[in-house]
Amino acid sequence: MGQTCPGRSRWRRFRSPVARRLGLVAIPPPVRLLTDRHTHPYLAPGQPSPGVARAALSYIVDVAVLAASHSKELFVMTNISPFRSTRLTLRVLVPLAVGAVALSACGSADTSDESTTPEATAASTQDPADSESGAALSVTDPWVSTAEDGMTAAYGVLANDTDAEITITGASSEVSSDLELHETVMDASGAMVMQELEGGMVIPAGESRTLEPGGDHVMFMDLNAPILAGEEIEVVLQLEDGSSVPMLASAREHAGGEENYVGGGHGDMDDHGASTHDPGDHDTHGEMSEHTHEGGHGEHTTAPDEG
Amino acid sequence: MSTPQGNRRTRGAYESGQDSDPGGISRRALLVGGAVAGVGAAAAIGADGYLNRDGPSTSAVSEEPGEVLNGEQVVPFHGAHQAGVAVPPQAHAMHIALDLAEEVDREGMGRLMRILSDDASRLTQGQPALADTGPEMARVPARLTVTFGFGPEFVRRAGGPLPEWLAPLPAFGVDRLDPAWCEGDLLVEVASDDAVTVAHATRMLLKGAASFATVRWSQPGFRRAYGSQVSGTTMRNLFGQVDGTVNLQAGTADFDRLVWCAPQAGWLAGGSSLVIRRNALDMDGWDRLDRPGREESVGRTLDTGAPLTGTQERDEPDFEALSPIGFPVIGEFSHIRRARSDNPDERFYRRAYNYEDPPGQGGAGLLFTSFQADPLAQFVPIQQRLDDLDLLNEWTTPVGSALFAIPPGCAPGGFIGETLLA
Repeated sequence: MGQTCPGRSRWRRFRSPVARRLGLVAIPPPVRLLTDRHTHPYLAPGQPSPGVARAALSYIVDVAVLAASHSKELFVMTNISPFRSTRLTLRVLVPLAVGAVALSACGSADTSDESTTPEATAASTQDPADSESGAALSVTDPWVSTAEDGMTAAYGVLANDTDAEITITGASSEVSSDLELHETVMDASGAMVMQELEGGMVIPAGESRTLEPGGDHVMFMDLNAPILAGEEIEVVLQLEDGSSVPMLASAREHAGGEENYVGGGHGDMDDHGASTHDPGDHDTHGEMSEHTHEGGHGEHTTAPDEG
Repeated sequence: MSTPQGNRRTRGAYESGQDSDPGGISRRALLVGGAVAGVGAAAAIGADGYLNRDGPSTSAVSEEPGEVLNGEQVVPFHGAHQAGVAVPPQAHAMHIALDLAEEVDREGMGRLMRILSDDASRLTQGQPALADTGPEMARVPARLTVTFGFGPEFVRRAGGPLPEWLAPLPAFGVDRLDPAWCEGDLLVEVASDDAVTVAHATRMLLKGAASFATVRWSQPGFRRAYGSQVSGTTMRNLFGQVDGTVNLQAGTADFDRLVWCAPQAGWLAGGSSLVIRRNALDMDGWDRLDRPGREESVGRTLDTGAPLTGTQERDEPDFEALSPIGFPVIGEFSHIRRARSDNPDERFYRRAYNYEDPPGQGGAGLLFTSFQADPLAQFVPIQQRLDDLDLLNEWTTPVGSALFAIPPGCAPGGFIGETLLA
């Protein structure tokens, strides 16, 4: 094969005489494209990885280009019977078998990874915007609570995929001048209060940390614009090593979590209504707390809340 | 693609039975091998895609009850069509019509549909929605589907072209419509084999819509519980009649042609329309009717649903058969004769549910829902025939009527209604 052809740089020629006898002159573009599920985790169950189709298409296109540049030989193809010649048998059936078996194995490997249990289908149905990875920290299902002004919080699942500890030192966003990392703790009187995390948010190697109402969260201290339901708010987490991890949080209305803020400022949370809560009023906290603010989170037969 | 010299040369090479390069690999064999491998690869991908087209979970739906927990069954959310139309009807359904608030504009409607689609895509797969306050209740999907429909005001506010049929249905003589059960801007249909799942999904979706819309009406419905009968058995309405024998079958060419809107339909291509009519049943009047009278009003027997001229449910009714005294066995006035049209295009896909208000607070009835590509051409002529003459009208009264456009499905990362709002 001394001819030049487009894409030749992506082909590697076999030197081994065995391979040449088998008719495998060159291998197609990198085989890892056949198993690139890590870049396409959002497949529906049963759907072959797009990488498989792409690799096969590029293989076919390359062969087609070769065929066009050697068009004279095309006439011979219709007259060849593989069973009349053992050499041709090897050169036709072996590539056919290798191609079909390799690609169907990759295809079934894709689908055998899917399972009927709901947990396993989670990764395949997530919106691409929900799962982003920085260098080592991946953020899943980020969301932020809607608010007119004042304070609000962002949540999500942060996973440390490396074997070193990750420390988040801060966060920034266009919608608030000041963001803090908060935890929720019980104070002396037994009420749940939120306070800034000293030393930042530490995620040990290989573990994940869930930010959720009633627990840890990223606090927006002073909103400069209302956050409306359904909006996507960009938040950038700053890590101790200087890198940053973006997360795109979907805004959702959320009524729970009336934790008081150590250091004051709880009354600024206007989205939760004008009522103030004494710590003693809380039988439970988080999403299970009763709340009296006006709004459409109860039976939805009345006019909607403005917020 | 070849020169005369090329023909001569290659033919000569073939006849000699030798490759042009005996010691190594001929270009010809490489091309053949590569092309055949490429074809083999394409065939493998095609076969793999064909074999797995339904996904691993939906193939388990038809297994015997008890082999696999039905509560774990999921119906894929993403696809060309919304999943809740063609899926075998689940045991419980909740139909909710919402009215958009005054100030919600096109941008707000986009945010609303993104929230609802995201919540639905998670809940239907057995995952809690974002900000789900009861995540444990999302773990038993039981074939949950969520279907969205748009009323005329929704489409108008979105600035999209209004399909000509998207307006209240024409008034029929038998109608006794209560405006509280009629029309709406946005329809949300939540259906699952598990009633607790329906309740949780309904609550999550209404919370997502709370700042955009108010509830206009909500109509719950039910059929046989999963596992009570062999799946696929025709349902019975609360009159005890076998209801829905003659119906389009999902997956057939007729279904695709008559239910899904054609590609020329613009933003509705791959969508459909939904007629939902609340039919109140006069249970007391029905009780006073004797059994032969009941069977004559429909034209089918009560025990098996067979037509009066046949022995099995699927028998074709013989409308020409006469009784010994000369009257047609299946009367001119019977429901199945009046609902039958000579025009094969006047058909739709029925997907009805029973409803029953608590005793003393209303009545029982049938939530008639049908999907068709063009309700004016497919549904209205049939309803007009029934309006003109149908003995069953004595005991049924439409008290609610609504028509919605069902948008097409979406891919992961998209949202229902993106063809109209994006």
